[in-house]
Amino acid sequence: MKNKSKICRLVSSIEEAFPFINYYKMELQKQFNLFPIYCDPSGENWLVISDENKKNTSFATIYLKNCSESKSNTGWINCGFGFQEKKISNCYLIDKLSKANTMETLYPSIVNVNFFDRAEILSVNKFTNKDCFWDFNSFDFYKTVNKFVNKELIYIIKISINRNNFLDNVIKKQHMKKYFEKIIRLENILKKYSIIESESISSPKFFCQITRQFHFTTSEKFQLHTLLRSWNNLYSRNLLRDLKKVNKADLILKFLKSDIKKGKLIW
Amino acid sequence: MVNTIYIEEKIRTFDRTKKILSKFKNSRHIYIKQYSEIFNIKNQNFRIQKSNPSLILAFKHNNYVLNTPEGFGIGSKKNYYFSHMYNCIYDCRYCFLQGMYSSSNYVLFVNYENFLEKIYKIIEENKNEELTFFSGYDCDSIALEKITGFVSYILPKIICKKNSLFEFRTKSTQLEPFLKHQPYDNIIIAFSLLPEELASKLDHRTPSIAKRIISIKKLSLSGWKIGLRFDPLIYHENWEKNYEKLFQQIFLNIDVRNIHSISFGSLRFPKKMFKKINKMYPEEKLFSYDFEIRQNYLSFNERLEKEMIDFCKSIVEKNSKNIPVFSCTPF
Repeated sequence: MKNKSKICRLVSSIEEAFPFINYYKMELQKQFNLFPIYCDPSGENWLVISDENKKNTSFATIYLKNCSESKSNTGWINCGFGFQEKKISNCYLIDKLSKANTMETLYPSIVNVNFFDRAEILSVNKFTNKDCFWDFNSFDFYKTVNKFVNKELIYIIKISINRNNFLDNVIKKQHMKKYFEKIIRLENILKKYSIIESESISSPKFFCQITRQFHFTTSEKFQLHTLLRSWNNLYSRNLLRDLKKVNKADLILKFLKSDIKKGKLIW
Repeated sequence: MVNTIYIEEKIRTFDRTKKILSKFKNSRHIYIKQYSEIFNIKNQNFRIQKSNPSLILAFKHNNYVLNTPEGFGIGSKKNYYFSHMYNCIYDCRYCFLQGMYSSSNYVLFVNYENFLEKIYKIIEENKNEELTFFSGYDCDSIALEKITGFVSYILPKIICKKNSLFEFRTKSTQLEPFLKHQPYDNIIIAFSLLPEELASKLDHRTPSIAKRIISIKKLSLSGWKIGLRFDPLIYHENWEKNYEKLFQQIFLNIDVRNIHSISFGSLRFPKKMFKKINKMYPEEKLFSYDFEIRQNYLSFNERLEKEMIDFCKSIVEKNSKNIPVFSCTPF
């Protein structure tokens, strides 16, 4: 069975959401009404729109995790705008996050991405005239998401705009359009990492067929999972044929254990 | 290529830091308070990081030199190891570092002087004893030498220490720091070896066995003492044939008079570490083997281990009776 990727995105406004909705042909999931949640037909791409409110960032992130039934293999992206004094705009991948007031610092991991400029950002509680690159939600997003996935599965993408354009939706739309291709390229890397992470949580070959056919208790299922992993690495034959004469969970586990014991390391 | 370099604020102005940074023209530099902020945190993926590790330049504050685990040694009563780096550029599937650290980023401690000071102190405190110091326990001693310059720094300062042996363990073929000097009897360059059939499957991103043997030959021809380390010995189908072939290759190319010692070590994983590594590489055949659990370690069964060590020892003895042979096992 081929492992699938899953990506969840948090944005603050419809202007930021629009290119993703369009690209993945996402639809609003009306059954979830706490925050607007969108999903594509494959169920692999999800998006939630929070607003710039700090509390909403964490709530919306957790809400999306629950609604999308995300596990430890899901990639997470916070895409949006950061503000600065400079007028020149750019799209950055954030590799250092600090929180105003506490100055707590976090370091997102960037692996195998060399086509993005990088920046550090300060997450603030309210609009500021500070001469730095700042936003409202990236720190809380990262801190929340890193509780349920590895940091290699989290990206924060911020497009820098002049702070005077804070409320200018036309400019925001234009910039999202301008950098969207690059963002998608980055998402493709994240999808690969999501697949790698899926390998350790996905069911091994024959697991679903066997558990459908025979009754396994929870602890037996756990054992079956581990044993099948090993068995599949050692043998390439069709296990189901071997199990024709075996009709109980404990006998299946016994059979696997004994077969693994006989297994040889042949490369 | 290292894309990101984290640098502890404390060492920002060190000459060595500047020199290392000058070797990475296009890397992003991020200043941090201490390396543990990046290296020790939970919720990171060792496997993904391994595809493009970052470099962390740090200052080591203590534990410069440590006692080796029990059973680890090549003849001296007192054995120590030191690690100027954590993690390795190679990606050997049986390596315990995968289970030991939560990050595969390289940590390089730039205060080499403190390592040397501690080594001198231990030598001074044990004047009448034979000591062995091992480098290459938490990293490969030489593989990143072009960046670190660690061996080039320390080698001229330890060659005169007569009651102390220094072993640099490696899989690398970067020999410059040694070839620049005349050989010294208290320095051993030890190579980890596996049959090529296994190395091609398990030793990822390492020089091939043939290349390692060419390097051993070059060093031994220059008079350097060589250590041959078959650690771990890995049981597999046709293991006798494959190990015999490996020894033939070695003895055909290397003058036995320059072999300081040979050591064999069995494959072993602490239980917890095995669980972590196995989860990281669920498709790896090696971890699917029905290992025995002994004293909280997973390993091949005792009989098989002994059979492999005896077999390999007998081949060594056939070729030369004078090479000291050691076993490195925790049991």
